[in-house]
Amino acid sequence: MTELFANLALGFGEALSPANLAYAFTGCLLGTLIGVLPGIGPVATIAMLLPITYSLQPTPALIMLAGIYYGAQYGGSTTAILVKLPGEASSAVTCLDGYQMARNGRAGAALTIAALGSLFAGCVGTLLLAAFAAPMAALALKFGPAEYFSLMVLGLVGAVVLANGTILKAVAMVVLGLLLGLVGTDVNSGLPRFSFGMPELTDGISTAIVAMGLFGFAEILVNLEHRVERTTLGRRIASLMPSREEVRRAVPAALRGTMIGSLLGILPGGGAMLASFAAYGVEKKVSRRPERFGTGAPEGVAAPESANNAAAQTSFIPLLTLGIPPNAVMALMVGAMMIHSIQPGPQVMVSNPTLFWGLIASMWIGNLMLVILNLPLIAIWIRLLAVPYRLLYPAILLFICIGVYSLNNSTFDVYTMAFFGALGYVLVKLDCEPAPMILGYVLGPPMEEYLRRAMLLSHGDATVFLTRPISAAMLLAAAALLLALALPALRSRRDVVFAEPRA
Amino acid sequence: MRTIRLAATAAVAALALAALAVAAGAASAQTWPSKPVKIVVPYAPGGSGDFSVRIVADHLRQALGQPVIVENKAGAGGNIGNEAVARSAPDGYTLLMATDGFGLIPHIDAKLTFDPIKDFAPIIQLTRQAVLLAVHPGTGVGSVAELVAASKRGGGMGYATSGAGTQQHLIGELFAKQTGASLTHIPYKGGGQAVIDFIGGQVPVAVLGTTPLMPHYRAAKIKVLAQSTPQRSPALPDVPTFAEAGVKGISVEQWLGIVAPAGTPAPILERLNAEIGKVLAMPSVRERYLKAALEPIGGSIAQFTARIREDYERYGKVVKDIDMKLQ
Repeated sequence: MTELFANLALGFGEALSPANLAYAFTGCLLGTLIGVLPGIGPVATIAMLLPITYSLQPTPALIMLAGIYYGAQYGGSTTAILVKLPGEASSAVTCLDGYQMARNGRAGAALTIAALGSLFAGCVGTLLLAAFAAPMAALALKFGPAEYFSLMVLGLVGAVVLANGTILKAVAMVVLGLLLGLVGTDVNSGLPRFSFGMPELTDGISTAIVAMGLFGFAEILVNLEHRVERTTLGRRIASLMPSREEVRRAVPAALRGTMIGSLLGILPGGGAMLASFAAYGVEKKVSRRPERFGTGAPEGVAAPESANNAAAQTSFIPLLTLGIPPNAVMALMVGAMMIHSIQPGPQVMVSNPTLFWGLIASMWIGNLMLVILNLPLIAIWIRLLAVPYRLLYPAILLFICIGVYSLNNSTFDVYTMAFFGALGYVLVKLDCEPAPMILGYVLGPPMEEYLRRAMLLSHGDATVFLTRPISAAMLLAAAALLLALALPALRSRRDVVFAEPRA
Repeated sequence: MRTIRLAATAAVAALALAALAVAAGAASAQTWPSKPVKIVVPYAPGGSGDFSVRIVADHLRQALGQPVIVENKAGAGGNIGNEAVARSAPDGYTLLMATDGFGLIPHIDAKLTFDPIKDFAPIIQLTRQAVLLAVHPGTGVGSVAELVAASKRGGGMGYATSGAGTQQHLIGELFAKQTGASLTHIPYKGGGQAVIDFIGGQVPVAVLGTTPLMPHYRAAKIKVLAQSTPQRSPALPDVPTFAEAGVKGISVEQWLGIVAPAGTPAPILERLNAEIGKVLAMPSVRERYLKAALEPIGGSIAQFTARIREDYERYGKVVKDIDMKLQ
């Protein structure tokens, strides 16, 4: 314990220096801005800023880059709530209830809940990182391909069970997502699948593109058709803070979301993307009135936002303890460390304690800075809603296109996004929800990869999924969920899911 | 109405700006370089290739007097970036970071849309690195001979690589063929994913590049049984080469180099070779490379061209021998 305090003291001493505070602030500011701008995500920004970090010392460089990363999580939720545009692929779930809250005139409350939930989750995540990095990393390593497969099966079954509307439509959407996820390169043979000879498709379609097309672009198309008058929403700027009722409902959701996000974030094989979906799904399941989800439930904002931010913090664990980057952003951090001749790996904690603990201390400071940055900005964001839609939507569209283009410097991506926008519009017309499709799309390809890898490793023995305890536990949970689906008593409860209340 | 007029004015302004930009671009100078030089890295940022090139780009900027930009164009195992540069103008303003995959992929991928030999003009080899054969300590194996025996006993062991059709896959298959070991190829999407499972003990053996394995080797978390370079690399003086460990026929070095589209004028190629060679000779640069377990090479254009061709011939023979294709 005392060692922890000594280390934290060292860390705070480093992080509270004026220079490092400035870097943290710059990172957070940049992160928020790019989080708000759809598509121009932390990956692109960090890649652009990597050369600048050459001239910095390693600790300030990493502090700034880390600030950009979790700052983007905060910013991503802003556009998800205001204009149903997931600034980050992981903010897609926040679109569901957050946007509805905005349409109900509760945009300020939604933004506040998101900000405070994220702050709480960020602090808890950082605490876990500081105190339990090594044992959590060891836990993460216990997850082999079989466990990841079972986790994803659980995720997919959850999507179907909790889906709104008819089961048939939900399953159809999940399957459609799975099919679209097949586009790309087959891991085991190295051959492209469904790429129709186009090299841009051999790596599959990035989730960000799908999310922006399905949610953002499609929303614009639908709004233009219905000529939604949104000026009325902007007038009610009075209540920026959530009501007592909303807080009461959001707090336990934030707690649960934090827990789920922290656990999923440490899984290097892709737990973080599940975090917001899982938190939302769990909230729906434990809620006494699940039909409220999709109409503007504060829990529906608090849970995924907390899960997101907690996962963003704990995803540093595999990086800092094992030197393994669990996602693209962490891979860039590895690059940044290498530029400064620091080999990320198990010995970083020991050989560079100032770096490690300084980074952790600055995460707390960064989270605090972000809330201080974001809360006053909420008033400004609200005014944005008052802009007449005919001026707003071209700007949104432009940002979407720039954002998508910035992912890979590829115009092909922009066309792909437009395709998904059209698809999203068609889905809305057919009264199908796009959210199960996104989940199927996100989970499908890794699920297949893990299944085949688990089978390869067990030399074709399929019982490996049941003989390994963690995997067996998750498959049992999935079976239980399916059973819940079969029971007629619960059939009436299936009215809420990824509800898209379009009349 | 007002909005339409506004939009029209904006469109005209944009057109005017575009015309100006085109005009400026067309005024290409006779002396090279007169505008920024771009080096395309066909992989996502943050990898060891990216890192090597950025160091060079930084110093090159001072030598050439023009900005040297590194552009990441990832995808299709590097082929998106490779193809983009193969098709670009040979004016010395677009370069490519090439890898030793150039010698291998034409033999494996029948649908390749460019020719690594004909479509590029080599400039200089940047680095050299070994592919390592490593085992998880849980296997209790301490040498190549023990690994072969253990694999036969257990009915087959899985080995992780960063993908199907990579050098690592090739080395794994060659190794199994030469020693009679019973190994199953477990491909991953990239070295990072492979390392995760390997460190976690999910896969007992790994055939991967030096960079992802180095930190774990230094922390004594894994055992490295052999390295694929003909001589022991400076970063791993204690690890025997495959030849020393008794396995014949495996001599592979992973390299990074800079190439330009074929047809780039020779004076530009020579100038680049000279300048980058100077950068690679700088002690500070050498130190940073060695710390990342990359051996800086340099050399002349002729040497690099010979290297690429030699690899191409050798891989052709090997692939035919073990009949490996992306089928």
